[in-house]
Amino acid sequence: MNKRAQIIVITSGKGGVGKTTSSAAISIGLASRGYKTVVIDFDVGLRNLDLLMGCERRVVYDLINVIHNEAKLSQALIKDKRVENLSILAASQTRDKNALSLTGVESILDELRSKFDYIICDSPAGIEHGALMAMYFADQAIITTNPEISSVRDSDRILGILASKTHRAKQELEPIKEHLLVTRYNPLRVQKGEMLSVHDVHDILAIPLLGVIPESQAVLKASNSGIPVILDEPSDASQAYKDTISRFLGETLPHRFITTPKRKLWSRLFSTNIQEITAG
Amino acid sequence: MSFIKNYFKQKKPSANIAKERLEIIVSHQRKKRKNTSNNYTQQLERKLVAVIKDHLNIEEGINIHVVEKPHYSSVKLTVELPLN
Ligand SMILES: Nc1ncnc2c1ncn2[C@@H]1O[C@H](COP(=O)(O)OP(=O)(O)O)[C@@H](O)[C@H]1O
Ligand SMILES: [Mg+2]
Repeated sequence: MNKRAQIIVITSGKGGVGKTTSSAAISIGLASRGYKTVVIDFDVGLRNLDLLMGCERRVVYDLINVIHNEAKLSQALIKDKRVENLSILAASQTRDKNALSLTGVESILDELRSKFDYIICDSPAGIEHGALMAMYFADQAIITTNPEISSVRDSDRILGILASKTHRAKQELEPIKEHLLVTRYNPLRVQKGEMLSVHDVHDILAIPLLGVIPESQAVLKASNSGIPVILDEPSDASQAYKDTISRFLGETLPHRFITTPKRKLWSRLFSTNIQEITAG
Repeated sequence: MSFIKNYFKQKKPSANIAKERLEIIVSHQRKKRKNTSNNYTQQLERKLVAVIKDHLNIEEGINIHVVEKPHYSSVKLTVELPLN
């Protein structure tokens, strides 16, 4: 049997928007659904996927070691202890992004492609070498965007690069499939007019909306403990990530956590009054 | 009268301002991309061929090969010079 994994890059341009948080959640989500999944940290020099996954003490070899033939891929892959089917490939902490070469990345991805269903690439911030290496061979891209002006602008720039500088673009293959993931969403601030709404962001970027992850206290708790937030079952962020996975796998689900959770008594009274008035 | 009007007329929410600014920024970015990436190499190709034809007064034997790499693109050009 010959597998051919889909390569998915989690990218954004801007830093700190939730790429690594999302990479951890999405890879665990796909593995939990039974897909053989590997998640690769491309943030060479600033690795932190291993911290979010809680496996920092098990990192012996990393991506660069494999590229430089200092270790075999099988030695560098870390099997997740909580979820079957999931492996992690850490980034190097000591070298810099330029240690990544296109041919090196290609040969690793080729080897992984025959063993996995999904390869998740956690991109570093920026639009330069490291980010380009993470997205170059992608089949699909999850554009992680905060409802904030600079993040949306950077996401649009990333869309431009995906469409012109990647393998699929250069070879004139079918374009990379784009997905919009809006993260750190605060419905209350949207309601107050202080934050761009998901509809605004979706309108401007005009790519299919995969999910909306609310700003959630569970995320910091998760990174503190090294247990990705998607495993914090009852939390809003976990549910939102699970919905995102379902949509990614083709299910149609309404977006949750995009309106304010509970309205105050007075506003409920007020709106029922209005309904009564307009009804009567 | 104007006092009542002002009371009801609220300041424009900052999210709306952000959206308006983004619409302009993104449409500019996309227009620029269309103009540069799409035709850049084709334009270069066309202009090179025209110049060579004009200077050497030939119609055939001009080969242009564009190689696109992630960080740069290169143009290889060979011209068969007529024997005369
Ligand atoms: N949905 C969320 N709610 C609250 N905080 C979040 C959320 N997503 C990410 N964060 C926080 O934002 C910061 C950056 O997240 P990270 O995933 O490292 O982003 P990136 O990889 O894009 O730089 C971290 O401190 C993280 O805990
Ligand atoms: Mg990151």
